[in-house]
Amino acid sequence: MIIDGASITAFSSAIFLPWMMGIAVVVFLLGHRAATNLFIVTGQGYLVGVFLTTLIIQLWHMCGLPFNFWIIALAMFIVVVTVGVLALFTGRFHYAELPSMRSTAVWQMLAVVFFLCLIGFRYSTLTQELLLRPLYAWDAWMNWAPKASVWFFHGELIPFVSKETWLAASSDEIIYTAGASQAFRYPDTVPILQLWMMMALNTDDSTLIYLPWLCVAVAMGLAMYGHVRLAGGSVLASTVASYVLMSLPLFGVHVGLPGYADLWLTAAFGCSVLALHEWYQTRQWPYAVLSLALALMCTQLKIPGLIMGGIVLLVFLVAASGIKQVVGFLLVALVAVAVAITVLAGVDVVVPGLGRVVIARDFIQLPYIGRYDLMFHPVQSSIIETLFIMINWNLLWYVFLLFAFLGIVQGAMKSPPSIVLAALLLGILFIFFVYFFTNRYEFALDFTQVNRALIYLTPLMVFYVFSIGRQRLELLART
Amino acid sequence: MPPISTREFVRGMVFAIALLILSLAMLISFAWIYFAYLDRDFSHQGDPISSFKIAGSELLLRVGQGSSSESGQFELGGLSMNDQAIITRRVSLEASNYPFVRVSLSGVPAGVDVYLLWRTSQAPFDIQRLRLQFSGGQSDHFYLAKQQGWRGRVTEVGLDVYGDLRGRNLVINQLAFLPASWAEAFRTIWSQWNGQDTWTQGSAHFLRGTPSASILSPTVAVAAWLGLSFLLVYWGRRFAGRGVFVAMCTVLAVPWIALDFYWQHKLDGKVAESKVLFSGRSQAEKREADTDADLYLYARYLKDTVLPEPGARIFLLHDTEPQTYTRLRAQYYLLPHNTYNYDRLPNKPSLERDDYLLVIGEIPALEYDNASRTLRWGDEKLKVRLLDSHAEGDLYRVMRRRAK
Repeated sequence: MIIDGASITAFSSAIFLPWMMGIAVVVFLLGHRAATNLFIVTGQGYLVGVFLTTLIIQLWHMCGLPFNFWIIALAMFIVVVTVGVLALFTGRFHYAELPSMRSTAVWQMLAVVFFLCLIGFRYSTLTQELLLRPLYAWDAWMNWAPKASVWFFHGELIPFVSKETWLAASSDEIIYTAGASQAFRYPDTVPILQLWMMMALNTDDSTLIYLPWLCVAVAMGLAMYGHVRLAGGSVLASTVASYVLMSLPLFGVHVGLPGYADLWLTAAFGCSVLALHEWYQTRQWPYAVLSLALALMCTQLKIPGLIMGGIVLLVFLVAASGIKQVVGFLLVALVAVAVAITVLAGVDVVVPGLGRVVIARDFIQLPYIGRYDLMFHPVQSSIIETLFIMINWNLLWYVFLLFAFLGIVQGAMKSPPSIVLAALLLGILFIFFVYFFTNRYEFALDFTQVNRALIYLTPLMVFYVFSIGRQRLELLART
Repeated sequence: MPPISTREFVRGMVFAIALLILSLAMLISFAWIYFAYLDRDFSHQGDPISSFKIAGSELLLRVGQGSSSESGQFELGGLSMNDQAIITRRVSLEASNYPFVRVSLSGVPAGVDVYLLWRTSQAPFDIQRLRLQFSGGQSDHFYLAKQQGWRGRVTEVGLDVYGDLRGRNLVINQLAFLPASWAEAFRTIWSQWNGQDTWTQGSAHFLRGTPSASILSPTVAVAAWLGLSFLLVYWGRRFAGRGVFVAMCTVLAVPWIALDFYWQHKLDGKVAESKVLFSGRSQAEKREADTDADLYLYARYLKDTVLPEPGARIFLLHDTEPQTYTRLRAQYYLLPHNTYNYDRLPNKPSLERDDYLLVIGEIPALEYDNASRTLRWGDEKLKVRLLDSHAEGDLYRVMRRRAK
């Protein structure tokens, strides 16, 4: 069967080979060493597989090998078989012991079917939109797809450079510059994924190139189900958690109008923190490895991914150090004082291999991230509008605040925050800092960027609500 | 806690649904009283204000093709060369007397954008516009009072239509400017919630869920419903027995699902438009059916018949700032050609022999002298050869070498 000149075999391989490779790796990593379930393996596996695919293509380029879809696919198939065999022979799959489905009441099963139908209906609509409309969303055709088109045509990862470098170069040199002045700095993972699909379809202009955006949403939904189950949630609660995440309007729009990197960063950050949560709960180290691998993926997706990956690393280091509450509080106070002194006195150092780091009262400059002037910007009305008045998040922020309020009232502040809540709060602090205190505030006022940062937090918010929700509501019912 | 039985589930569910209905009734009552209170305020300001209606046949065609019919309608049959039609009428209205407008149109095809336009005596040369998003019914209400330009004395009103009518007639039945009343407020909220909008380049950034000047956000309304229902369940929790957990979950889930259905309805409308535009078409045909088809066809023409194989450098010139839609879109359609896309005028020191200059649209400061094969701008000039001239732009090849 042919799809616009490409075989269905190539197209299917482009979708499923990365997925199989990721599943094999996750099974090998977690299978007999840590409690898991098929939903975690499948959901986390897709992200790991896509990340490995992009790394293999980059390795291919570094070795100077010509791009050929089938040869790269063969290499990936060898990885799948090798890791799969290793996983099979190194031990038995360790299924987490969960409450049996047999104890599920009829009403719960009906409710599960209802929510699955809602997910199915929504994603059939989004898939139609994805397949019908040629690449539409602004940043998708401005920042990400052009790199992939150029690489597809040349058969190698031609460098994209700043406009100044491009102008200074000789016309004989094959280098490109994007239409957006900073796009040359953006990491290559997403365009390499597009390149992979283009090679399979043998064209750089097809809506099928963007089918991985549907897959990553489904993978995130599966991972959410698996992790809520592992945290003790019922089949119904886990299904509703997946539905809540997957039904968020802005989450879905990034599937229907694909091509941005934000959904990938959302999934990578979400899965990374959920894996870290599992590691912290059980101290099964393979989850820490999985989490850190996905944190690395975050840094390779977008520039804000450096911060999101850094948040995972920071939470991991604090959790691994076994710092008790009082020591932790002292550490936070110490860091706060250090930050205050740094801002008052200023820092201006060159970090070898990274670049210049400047922290002054009125601006900061960080390697890879850039320079930001520091000043308070009153963007609160835009933030309130986007969280509570627009339809971006359905009622997620209302529900999240309700449960946070219940937590405070019920004395949850007496114990240290969970891994997920700690990462979530750090993420909120980072995003609010960026839009309240730096010159990126204008992207909160016109809403062009702020929601694409807030979307990274949604899997954590959903998991937080569903992991503590029942306990909070039952306590409330008894008061 | 032991598992919840089906009986307890039913009890909790019935309890929750009863309170959801009660809270919905309470919220509608509150809103009713609030708008009635506003209504009373307006009626105190003087003589009652009657609505101002303009039949379609009373509108005059300024741009486009169409005619009035004997039945009082205006039938718009065609658009101008730049896919636009304007139909207006002179009026004299005090904007503050008319916070609402009811627009009755039929036959609006997918992909066509309709704006209400008006001028005021305060700014007679400025045209104010409000994008109208229709529900597909016979008429829709829109809220004008929140529009910044809806102030003072309105001197002209009308409609501005963009897009492709696809061979159909767009029929304008009536424009009715309406005074403040609770009934119009409710009708306008209903119209706003039902109005179908299309994707925009901002859709991946934020989703309002309603037109920008909505009276009441559906998210806020549903959140209020959730909040009140949750409080009622909490206060009445002893009546639900062991089903109280189910009741709490239900009052959280039902409003969420209601808002989700609302969004699904919006999404269905957008997909319906995509089907009309793109269904059953190849990728190239989809591009040709898209809103910037002219630019796509021009880029394809250049790639297929004028430009050499990708490799040469193209300097794209457009009379706009960097990173604006037309220039970025042209660059995208020209891929995999190597395009530099930041200038309005030639960047002379960077140009080399056999580089290409692609001028998209008109740049008044740039002139080409055919006799001397020279491009001139300000005090600068550059030897070039005009390779192609087209309605969308001109392509030149640089004939001189950059000074090293």
